[in-house]
Amino acid sequence: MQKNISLSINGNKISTTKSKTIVEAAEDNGIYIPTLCFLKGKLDHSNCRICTVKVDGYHKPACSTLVADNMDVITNSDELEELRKYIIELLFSTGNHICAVCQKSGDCELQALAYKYKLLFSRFEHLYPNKGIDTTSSDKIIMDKSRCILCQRCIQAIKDKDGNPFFVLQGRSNALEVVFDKEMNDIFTQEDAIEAVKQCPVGCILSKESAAFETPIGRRQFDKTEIGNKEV
Amino acid sequence: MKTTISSIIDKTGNDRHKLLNILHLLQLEYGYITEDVIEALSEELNITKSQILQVTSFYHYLYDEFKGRIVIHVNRSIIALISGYADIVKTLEKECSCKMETISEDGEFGLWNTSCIGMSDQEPAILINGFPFTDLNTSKTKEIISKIKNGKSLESIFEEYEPDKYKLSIGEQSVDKTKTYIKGPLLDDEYTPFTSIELLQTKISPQNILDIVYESGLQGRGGAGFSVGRKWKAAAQAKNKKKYVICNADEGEPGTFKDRVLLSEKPEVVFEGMLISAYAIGAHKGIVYLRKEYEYMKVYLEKVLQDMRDKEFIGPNSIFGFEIRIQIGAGAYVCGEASALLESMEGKRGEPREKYMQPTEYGYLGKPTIVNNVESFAIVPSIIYHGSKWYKHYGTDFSAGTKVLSIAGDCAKPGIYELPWGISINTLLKLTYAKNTKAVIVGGMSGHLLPPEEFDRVICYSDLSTGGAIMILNNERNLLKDVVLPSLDFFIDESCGSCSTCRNVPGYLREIARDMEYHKLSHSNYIKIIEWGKLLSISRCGLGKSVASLLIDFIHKFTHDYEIETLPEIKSD
Repeated sequence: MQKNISLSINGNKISTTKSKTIVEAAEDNGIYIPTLCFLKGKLDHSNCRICTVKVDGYHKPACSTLVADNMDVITNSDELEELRKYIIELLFSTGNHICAVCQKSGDCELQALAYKYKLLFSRFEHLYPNKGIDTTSSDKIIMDKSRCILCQRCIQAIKDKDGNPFFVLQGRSNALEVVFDKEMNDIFTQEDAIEAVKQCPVGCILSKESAAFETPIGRRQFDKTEIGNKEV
Repeated sequence: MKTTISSIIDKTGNDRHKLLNILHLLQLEYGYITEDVIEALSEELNITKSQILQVTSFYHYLYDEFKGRIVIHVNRSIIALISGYADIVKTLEKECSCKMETISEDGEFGLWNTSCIGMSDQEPAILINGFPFTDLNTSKTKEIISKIKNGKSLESIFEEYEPDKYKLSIGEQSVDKTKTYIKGPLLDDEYTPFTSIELLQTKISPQNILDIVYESGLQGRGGAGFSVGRKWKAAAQAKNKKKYVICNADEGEPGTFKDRVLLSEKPEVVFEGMLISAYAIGAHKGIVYLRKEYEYMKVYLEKVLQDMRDKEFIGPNSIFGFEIRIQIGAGAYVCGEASALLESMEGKRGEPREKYMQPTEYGYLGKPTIVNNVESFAIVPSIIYHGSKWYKHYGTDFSAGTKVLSIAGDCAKPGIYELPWGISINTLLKLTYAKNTKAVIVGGMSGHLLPPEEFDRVICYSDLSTGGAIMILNNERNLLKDVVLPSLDFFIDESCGSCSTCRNVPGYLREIARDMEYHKLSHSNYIKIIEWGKLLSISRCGLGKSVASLLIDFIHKFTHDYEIETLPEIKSD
């Protein structure tokens, strides 16, 4: 495709194609912007805010802002990195993310970001919520709700052939939850379940079928490489 | 039940986008949205129960449980709190035999807090099954409850105690309790409604309208201040032939009540403004999104619309074929945000959309849409009639025209003031006969908290930009308890929960603010407030961005009102 858009990221001129998000254009040019809720091809939800960058002096979510000619994007200022660190701490403190007892350890994007940002403690008090574990709605997955970071990727990514989502929101504000729509259980396939586990950036959605120990901890994707970096 | 649901759906249309209307009607029928109702509705609409719950669980006024046969919402806004909220609660709890947030044993009464019902000039105020009762005191409250207990119909009690609100009807001089103290080009009666419509038919082209509105410098009156002309031009250029005009009457900013007054006193010019915009951009459908708390006005507004249909200004027989309908909201502050309002109108959760989509391109049902505030539409007919120069003559160089302000709180004359932009806070305090003023809140919960040193600041887009809520607080007020903590409670309650920031940070801020009541503000907590304020500012919409604004103003500008830990002096070597 023709590269018809020219913009600047961190002072470097780059060319890219129209209809790409800043996250994608940056990635093509070897610049990593952390994301948690981002799903390629879906623009209409940017809930985690961790991809916030400065565009022409204004904070914007890089995952749902399209590139435009002569845009001036900053992705890595001290201010932005500090905001990202705060978001990681916030997500850790408002959920139960205790990596040592989590099947997702090593494959968890939140954990990987915590390592990348050298998180040693959180400046927010840990709430240790008790939102329960849903083991009954689906015969293929369980959901540890206290680990859900409300990124909504499962809602966006996994749908039936008519476009109805298998996961839905319930409530609002700090009582917001993602739940599995149990009426959809009959048509929720094993492939959908695998996809849901894969899409979940944390240890909330887990498979009933597999204990997730095919790859031992220590040899998993983020054990080998830092998130956002190519293979070392 | 099945037949009831089918007949309701026959009325509204079997369309997911009509979900709010369907749910309103079902609630009216059954008192709340029961599990059986959801089950039957899900079959009828062919969607799952969870998808219905997804919507019902978002809105304050869609009940998932029994709330009492007589549902009483007690206004708990800042102004209510300083105007005797506690006394009314005490009386209600005694008379209804139940505590707040519960239902009486016989199920007759339910008492619930609500954030602001748009009656700040008439506090304390409550809604009883949707009917507003205002200017309450202990004896009036007792009387009303005892009349309900004696079996008198709510409508007749409403008529007896609130004749001004009951008697809204065409042609009659308004007797609204709200006092309008100063009138300007919008509220004075110089302009005769529908005069400009005649001009459209003969002299003025759509392009003329776009140019006049653009040149007048009119900016959105809901608070954001976007150029109305620019928005209309963008919508006019949009290729899609199907376009919508939406009037945002979801006046939820605590302290504001000017849209209620405009809709009860000047609905004709609001609708005329919508019609003019529709002509300008090429739209055929108009919708007024009226907040649930103002539903009592709907009957009257429908009459005004019918009158306009009879006169053939709107409706199928009218010259432009433009039609207006009223959509009732379901109780969510965030729906005042234009894109959240669109989502809500489509029968979904009222979550703000990401900003890359402009409503003028991709709005209601994906079609080009303009969303403007009640006040923005209301002034348009006069601007078209008199021209842009006439309008620019009011106000300042960068803020054209006048602003309708809702002023409430500690002053002798709370009410409506239509003033040109550029008025200072000092002038407002004089006009309202406010004494011993300690602080003024401009712009409601998401606005500014100003100390006396800043009372020379002015209301205009370049200084104190506001949708029009002004709250005055005198020396007796405890700003932390009366203002800051309620503001945080409010945002915690009203966040849609999408952004990680706005969903989680306000709770932490409230902990710090609560602690300030009893302890010195530690230096580390001071830093947290400032830093977390920045963190909130990267949220998607204005609600999230402004959660900490009153708290931050408080700690910076009212340093006498709380104690802060002093750091040991550091001497240089």
